[in-house]
Amino acid sequence: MNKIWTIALNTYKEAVRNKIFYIIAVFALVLLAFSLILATLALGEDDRIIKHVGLSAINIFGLLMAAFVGVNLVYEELEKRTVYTIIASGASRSQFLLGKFLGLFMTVAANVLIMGLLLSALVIFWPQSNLSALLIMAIYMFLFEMMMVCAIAILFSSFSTPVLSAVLTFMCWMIGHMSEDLLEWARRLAEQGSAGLAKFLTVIYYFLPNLEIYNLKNQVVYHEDIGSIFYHVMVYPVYAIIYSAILLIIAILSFSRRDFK
Amino acid sequence: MSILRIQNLTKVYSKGVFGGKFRALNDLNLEVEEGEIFGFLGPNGAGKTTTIKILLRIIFPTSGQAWLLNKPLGELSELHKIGYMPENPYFYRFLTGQEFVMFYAKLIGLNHEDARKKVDRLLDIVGLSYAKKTRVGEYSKGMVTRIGLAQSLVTDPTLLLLDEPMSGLDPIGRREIRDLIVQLKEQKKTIFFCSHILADVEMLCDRVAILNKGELIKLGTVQELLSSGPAKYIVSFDNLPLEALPELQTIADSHQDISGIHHFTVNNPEEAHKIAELAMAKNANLIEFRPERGTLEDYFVREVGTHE
Repeated sequence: MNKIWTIALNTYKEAVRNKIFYIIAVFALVLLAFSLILATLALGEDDRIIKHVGLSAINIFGLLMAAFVGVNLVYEELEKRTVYTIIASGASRSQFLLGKFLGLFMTVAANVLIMGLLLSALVIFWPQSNLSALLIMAIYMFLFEMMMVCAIAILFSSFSTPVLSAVLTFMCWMIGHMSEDLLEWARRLAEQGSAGLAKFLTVIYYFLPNLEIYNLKNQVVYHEDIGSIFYHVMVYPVYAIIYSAILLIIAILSFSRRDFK
Repeated sequence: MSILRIQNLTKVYSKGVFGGKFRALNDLNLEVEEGEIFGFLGPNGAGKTTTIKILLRIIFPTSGQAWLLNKPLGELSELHKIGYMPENPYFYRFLTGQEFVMFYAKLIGLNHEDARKKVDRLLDIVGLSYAKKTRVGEYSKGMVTRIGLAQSLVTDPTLLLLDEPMSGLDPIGRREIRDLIVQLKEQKKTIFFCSHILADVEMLCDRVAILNKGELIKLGTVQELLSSGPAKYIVSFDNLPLEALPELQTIADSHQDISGIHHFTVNNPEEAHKIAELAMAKNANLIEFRPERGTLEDYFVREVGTHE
């Protein structure tokens, strides 16, 4: 565990000192500021606009960071041969990969939390807005979505190039947000009598990550009911942890017998 | 005692689905003795880095076996006694030199206080104490090599694997690294050293192995390898009358006139003596008569050339 933590801390330090981290953070801040301009233009809609644009900014930049930093992490270590020195120092490949994942998640989580704090401050101090428990819940849930995206990025980067890994990670993220539609499609197919295809789609649905359950943006903006609190606080986070663990096990299996170039 | 033993080590890469096979290393047998500086030479693609990667378990051999410190490869705990520095190291640019070496110190399980003491000592050894708070990205090439060496020493290794440690360094940087390697040998460390810079290998190494196209083509001490090559003799004179020159030139393999000093090069001692006698009979002053040993570079080019 000590080795994993050492690698994670090193990954975090490297990532937060990288210019990309600041560029993404500055863009996110600009977008938050932009939400204020929009709020002043749209009379009476301040609260909704600030929360909608703010949460979208956190989502987009969290995703960009998880995907772009994530897919490069393992690749760069191989390219620059720093992984050789890490392995020569007695760390195993699985410790290396888990350390990279943890470091990446810490970086993304730090980014999300900082932006979340700024958004919270914004809604507290903006006269027509307020900090709701739902907004905090949305940021909390988003952290678990990012955990899964980080695991997906690490999985792809354990056997693929950064560009392909980034494309595949984005595809998984998109599919992850549409997987509920897949289930709906399967239901309709079953109704129309295509039971075989419906079953196939249902199986795929259970394999794909369901990321939409972590998206509470509409509920925050339109003050909608989110359903079971227990599911949001416990079940969905546990699902994210188990799903990420499975992805990391696959990544470790693929990585541990691989010949590095 | 052998600190590193390689037996029938072979590595074959597949070149895509229809690309066939590429044999990067073919049946390599080698032993490195404790306390020696062992030069591992070969042109690009000879299999040097492949061998090091197999030893570090970065890639896996197709067949064969190797023992490090008398243990078969793969016994992780033994890696703690091995230091490794990659070729053209490109380390974490955003960490300071001190943080960089600290990372490796903590990776081997040292607590913060012990790690800090060790890192300060290592930075002192490699002469980088003054730059410990500077980010590695701002280091010169020589400094990167030195911080790489500090990193490789964190485990207090008995065996150091150095892959092209002089690559890209200026003469002063090379000299500094050479001096450091000599110091490490004095501390009873075994150094397995890949290099293209043969002058350094000749100065530093006790024994060398030459690899070409994945095969070991020569193994021995630098002395043995050089004495096995053809010798040359240099005979030099001043005050040589010009009329003597044509006869001497027919005997010599080459002749140079540098500021009135005539240098003749021949391949055997008989011809060298003959030139000396003829010139001195014409009242020339003999100022130099010496055998010239070929350099390791001459030997390397000749050996690799014959195996092409």
